[in-house]
Amino acid sequence: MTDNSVLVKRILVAVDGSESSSKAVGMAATISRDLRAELAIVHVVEMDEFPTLIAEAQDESKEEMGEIILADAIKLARLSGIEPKPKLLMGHAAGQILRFAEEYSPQMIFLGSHGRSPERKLFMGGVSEAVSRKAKVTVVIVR
Amino acid sequence: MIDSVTFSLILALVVAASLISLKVGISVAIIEILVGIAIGNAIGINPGDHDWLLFLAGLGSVVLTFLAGAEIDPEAMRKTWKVSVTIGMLSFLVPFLGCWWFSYLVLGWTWGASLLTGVALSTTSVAVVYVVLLETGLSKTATGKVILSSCFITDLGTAIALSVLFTGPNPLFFVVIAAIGLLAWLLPKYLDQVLRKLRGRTGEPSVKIVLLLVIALGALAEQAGIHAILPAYVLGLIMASLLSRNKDLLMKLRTLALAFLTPFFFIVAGMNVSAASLISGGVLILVLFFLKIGTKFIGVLPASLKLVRKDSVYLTLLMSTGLTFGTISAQFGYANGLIDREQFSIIVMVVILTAIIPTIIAQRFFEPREAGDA
Repeated sequence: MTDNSVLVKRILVAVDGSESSSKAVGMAATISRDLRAELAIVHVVEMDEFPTLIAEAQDESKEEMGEIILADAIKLARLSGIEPKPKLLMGHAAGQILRFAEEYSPQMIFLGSHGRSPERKLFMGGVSEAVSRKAKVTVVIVR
Repeated sequence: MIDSVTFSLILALVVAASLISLKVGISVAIIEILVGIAIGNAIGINPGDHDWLLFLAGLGSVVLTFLAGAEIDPEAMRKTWKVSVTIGMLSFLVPFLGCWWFSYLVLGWTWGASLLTGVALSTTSVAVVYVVLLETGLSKTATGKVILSSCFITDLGTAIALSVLFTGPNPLFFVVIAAIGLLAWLLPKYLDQVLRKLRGRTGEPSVKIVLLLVIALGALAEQAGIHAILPAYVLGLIMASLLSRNKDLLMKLRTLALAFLTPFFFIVAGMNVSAASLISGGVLILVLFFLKIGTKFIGVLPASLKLVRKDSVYLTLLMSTGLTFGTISAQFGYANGLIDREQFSIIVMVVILTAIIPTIIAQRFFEPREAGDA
């Protein structure tokens, strides 16, 4: 009989400030603690699609909001006794999460089920769908 | 005289476009054009009937072009200019020649309309490419700087073509070139000191000085028969370092432009589009769309392959995008009778599609997986 068990050393959770992503942080932090795995929390500051000026893409208020979302997620993870590694990224959410995952090499990725508005999904697709389709590791979508 | 009802209606559309843009996460410029198309065709507002509207739209395009030029990193351009000029000119020339010859030889459009089509479809959206460079971690690398500088060269090619190709010999042309040269020498030396002295003063004299320079140089250019976007873009390039040191001033200029001036430009562009022409010209829109993407690939992919290898298709797709300069070119052609309303509508729709579709395809099918320099 072959051993298919996976040693979970690193877990990645992507947050967007939604209720489901907070649940994802709670769940990922608990599992990290139980498995003694490292936890990274990422938030992607999404820019407007098809900007006309570089300045439009560099919206500082979105960056500030991103810092707040990340800080809240860190507090939440600390409640489980975990000290997470935070990372603020910019760009298209799914692509940036996947890029970070390539670099960080987690064994699991956690995401909330509700991220983008339906209108934005219509144009650019859903983040959790794209990540679960393209990631090379287990993806847990938390409702 | 300003028609206050039309003015209020357009301001309401500007606000609505902003709110929709926030909701869907798409650049407000595209929403403004689409809102302009919808309202222009539904209630039949003809911007040509309102001189003040055309004036505000024209001013919006000139100030937007200035701000686009001011986003360049002059140091990066200085260091990479040889490679950037080569890639940027290829990115401009191949689509320009391809779209010009196709519309002249195959579509049988007039010489002026064909040239205009070539210019309008040769553009690259610097801002879209910048986002990609930021995402891929290339924005601070030498490769990223070459790519971004190349995009500025492409747009400079568009601005030069738009200004030079459609003007006859005029002695004032050399006066404009001399004025630009003089400003390029004087402004970096003296304007910085002037702006420093005026910083924080009520009445915003710094903003007024910059606007005066942009508008006066544009007015001089127009006397010489040159489109005002060329001096505006070059002035932006000249003042880029200076404005990057005066962030507060830059922010005020952006606020003025994006809140009040550029919405008029994009909404008027939308209002000039005929919905009926979009339906009857549907096939032609697709043909020109693929022609632009195809010629961009021919012009850019070889250099892109050499520079970034793995992400080359992704990058080339995004260098095929273009909105601001494409719309400005089409608007110029329509206002000067180079193209008719049907041709204008077709070109604007191709420009919108090239702003949207390559980005979506790039993200859905060619999304790079790894960051890092090539």
